[in-house]
Amino acid sequence: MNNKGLSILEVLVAMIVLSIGLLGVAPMVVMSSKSNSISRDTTVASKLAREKIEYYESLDSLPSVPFESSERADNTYNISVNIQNNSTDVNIPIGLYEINVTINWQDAANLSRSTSYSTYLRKGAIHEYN
Amino acid sequence: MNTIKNNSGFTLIEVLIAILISGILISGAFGFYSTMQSQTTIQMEMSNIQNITRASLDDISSTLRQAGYKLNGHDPYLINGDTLMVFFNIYNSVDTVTYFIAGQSGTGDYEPQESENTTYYLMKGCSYGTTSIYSDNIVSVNFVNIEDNIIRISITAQTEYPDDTYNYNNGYRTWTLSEDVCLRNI
Repeated sequence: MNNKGLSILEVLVAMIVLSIGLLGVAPMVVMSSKSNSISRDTTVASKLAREKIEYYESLDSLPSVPFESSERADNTYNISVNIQNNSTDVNIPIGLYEINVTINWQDAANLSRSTSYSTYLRKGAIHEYN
Repeated sequence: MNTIKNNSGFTLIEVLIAILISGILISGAFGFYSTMQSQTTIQMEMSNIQNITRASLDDISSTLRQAGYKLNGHDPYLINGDTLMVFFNIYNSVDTVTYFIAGQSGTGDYEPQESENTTYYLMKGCSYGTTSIYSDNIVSVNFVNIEDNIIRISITAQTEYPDDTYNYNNGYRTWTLSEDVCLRNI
């Protein structure tokens, strides 16, 4: 029977291999906190975009199109708004406007991120409620 | 038959050294594990409070946008501290939806924020339904008239359990989200 066992060198090598494996798992912690911070920023960005769209929705009449504007919010987010009239297309009813809102920001790792939202606005009431 | 020839075993010193080395290794591994564990808990709590602030803000703002709908002369909304009443007409001549913050008892008693172990809820009541807890862990809501038809809503949530590594607010992390809501019916 061979009962020589393992040498200290073999045990050390095994330990090193094991700890490299464990270290591979460590970035998971960093990744989870990073993706959480990105999702937090995206929540704020989508809120800002919705706020903008709702603002133009609440106006009786839109500024003259094509309309471009850009502003900063919370010193972090850059909001750019673009409104255009697609009424040259005969399939689209008159008074229908396309609004695009793009939010740009730098995340915690200083990488540029952006998210954009787009919808249609109807101006010049056809339906009179109440 | 072949048997083990050298059966003198380990010396006491060898065993002690082995125990020492494995003790160091295990404590290292346990430290690693417990850091991971607490990070996971913190991240889960953070994503939870981000989620509930967003969901509550969505609900309040979509309700608030109905303010004044098909009402003749009635006030569209009423702000009183952390209470918001929204009036509109869907079922009755005047429907009311009320949002407010309540302490543990759930009856609208507001307990001072300093007291520990107080649970806060965002409550939602409807004139055509019941008043119930809308969301846990919301500690404050704030409604401000920016203009007649623009209301700024701010919602703050805090984590359910304190986090020992966080040195402010007794270890409770907070997150605030606010939105300016434009009322369409005014």
